[in-house]
Amino acid sequence: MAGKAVEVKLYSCDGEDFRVPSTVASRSETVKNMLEDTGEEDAVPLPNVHGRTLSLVLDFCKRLVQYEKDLQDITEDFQHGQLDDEFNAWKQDFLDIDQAVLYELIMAANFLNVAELLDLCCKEVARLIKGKSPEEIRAYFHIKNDFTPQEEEEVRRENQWAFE
Amino acid sequence: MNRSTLSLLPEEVLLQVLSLVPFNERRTSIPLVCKQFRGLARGSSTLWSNCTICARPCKSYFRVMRWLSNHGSAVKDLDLIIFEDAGPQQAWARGAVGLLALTPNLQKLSINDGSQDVLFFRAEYDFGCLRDMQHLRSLSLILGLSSLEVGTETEPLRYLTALEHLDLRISLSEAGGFYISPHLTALQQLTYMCLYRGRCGRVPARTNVLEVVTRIRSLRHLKLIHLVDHVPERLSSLQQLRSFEIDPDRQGVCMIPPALSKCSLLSDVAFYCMSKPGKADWQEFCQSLHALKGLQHLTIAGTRLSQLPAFDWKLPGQIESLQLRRLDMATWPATVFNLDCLSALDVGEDKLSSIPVGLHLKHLRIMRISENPQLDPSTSLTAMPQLQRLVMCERQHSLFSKSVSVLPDSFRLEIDPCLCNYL
Repeated sequence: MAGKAVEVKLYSCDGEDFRVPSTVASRSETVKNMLEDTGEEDAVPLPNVHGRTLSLVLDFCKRLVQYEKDLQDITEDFQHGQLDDEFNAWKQDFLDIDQAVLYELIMAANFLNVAELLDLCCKEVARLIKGKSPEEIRAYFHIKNDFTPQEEEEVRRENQWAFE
Repeated sequence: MNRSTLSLLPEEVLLQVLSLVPFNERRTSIPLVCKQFRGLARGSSTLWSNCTICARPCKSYFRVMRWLSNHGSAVKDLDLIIFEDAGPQQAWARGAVGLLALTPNLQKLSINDGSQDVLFFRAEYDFGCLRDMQHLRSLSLILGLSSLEVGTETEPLRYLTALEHLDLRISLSEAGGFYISPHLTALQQLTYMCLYRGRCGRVPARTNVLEVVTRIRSLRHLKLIHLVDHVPERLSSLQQLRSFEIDPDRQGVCMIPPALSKCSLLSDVAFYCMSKPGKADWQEFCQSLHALKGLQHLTIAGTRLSQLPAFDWKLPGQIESLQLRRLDMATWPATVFNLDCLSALDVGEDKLSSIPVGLHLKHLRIMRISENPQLDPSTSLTAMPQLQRLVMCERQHSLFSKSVSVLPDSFRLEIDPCLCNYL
C-alpha cells in the first residue's frame, strides 16, 4: 500500500491549493485519470471548480473514504447499519447549504465525476421538487413559465390520468 | 451563476434529478413547469424507465392507455396495482393486464391485485403478452381470483430466458394456477403460493410446480407456500440451492430427507408450523436437520397454536442464527445453550421467562425478545457477555431502561418497529 500516504496537490480556478491523500483525490474519476496521465507529483489544475466548492467536494470524498474503510473493518452485519446511519446523518449536515452552493456542488461533482456525490446532490434536488405544484416549482427554482395558457392546457391533457 | 440554475444544469444531470421525483409528480407536474422540462419529458426515455399504475375508477383507463402508447416502450420497471374498487363494470377490470401489450421492454413487472375476484382475466390472452417480454428479469404476480389457469409447461413463461426472480402468489376458489416452465434457465429465486379457498378436487398446476421446480437447476432461493406438505426429496437435485422456506399445506412438521445433504451450499432454511407437534415427530424433525451440513440460519415459526414441546431436543451445533418465533415456548430449550456458534437469536412472541442462572449464551451478539411478558432482560444480561444489540417491544423497553442505568457504548437497544405498530 505504498500509494496510501502519497499526497497530491489540487488547484482550484481561483488559485486555492489543496493537499489531500491520493486515495481521497482519486474518488474523482477525472482527477484519477489526470494523476494516471501525469503522475502524482504534478499539481492538478481544476479550472472549472471554485476553491469553496472544491473544499466541499474533498470533505465529501474524505468522509466517503473513511466510511468505506470502516465498512471493511467491521466484523458483524448489524454494524453495517450503524455505519450507514452515521454516514447518512453526516450527509444531512453536509447538505445544509444554500441552493446556489448546491448547484455549484452538482456542477463540480459532474465535472470531477464523483458518482456518489452527484447522486447525493441529485437526490437532494429531487427532494426539494417533491410535493410541489408546477407553480411552486417555478417559484422555488426561479424558472420562467414560457407556456401560453393554451399550451399549458394541452400539456395538462397529455399527462392527466385522473378524471376531473 | 444566475438564479435559474436548475434549468442550466447539463441535460443528463437534469434528467438524473427529474428521474428521482416520484412517478406521479414526474408525469403530471414536471412537463408543466416550462418548455424545456416538457421537451425532456417527451423526448427522454430515461425519465420513464419506472412507472406505477393504480387501477381504480378515479383514473381513466383510456388516458393511461394513451400515455402508455407514447411512453410505454421506455418503461422497464412497471408496478400495476389493482384496487378493490376497480369494479367489474370498469374498463380496468376488463383490460388492466391488457395494458402490458404497450410495455414490451419490461425488465421488472409487478402486478398486485387487490380486487378480489372482480378482475376478469382472459388468462391466455392477457398473460400471453408475457411471451414477448424477453428482457424480463423479475416478475411478481399477487392475484386473488375465482379462477385462473394459465399456460402449460411451454407457455407463456417458457420464453422468459432472462428471468431471475419469480414471485407468484395466487389465491383461487377453484382449481387452477400458473404453470411454471422448466425452461427458465436463468431463474435464481422462486416464491410460489397457491392458496385454494374452496374445495378443489384436481389441482394440476400444483403438481406441475413441484415436478418442474426440481428441474430448474439454476435455483438458489426457493419458497413454497401452501404447496407441499413435506420437503421433497428431489430438491437434492438443486445443487445451487442456498435457501428454502416451506409453509406446509397441512398441520405438523416437515422432515428433511437425508438426500438433501447433497446440497452443499444450503445454509438457510425456514419452516412454519401450524399445530403443536408430537414428541416423536419433533425429535425426528430436529434429528433430520443434522443432514444439512452447511446449515447456518434456521427459522422455525409458529402461529401461537403451535406450542413447542418442553422435552429435550437437539439442534445441529453449527447454527449461527436461530429464530424460534411465536412457538409459545414457556421454558428455554437446553439445545440453545449448547450451540457454540450461535450469534443471533430471535425468541419473539414466546412465553419465556429470564434465562436460568448458570446457563450462558456465550457468543450471542444479537437477540430479539419482543413480547415475552415474563422475560426480564436485565437479569438475563449476565448470561450473554458478548451481547451488542437487544431488540424488544416498547413496554419491555421502558421497564428495562428503569432497571439498568449503565450500558457499554457499543451496546444498542432497539424497539421492535413492527410490533409497536401492531400494538
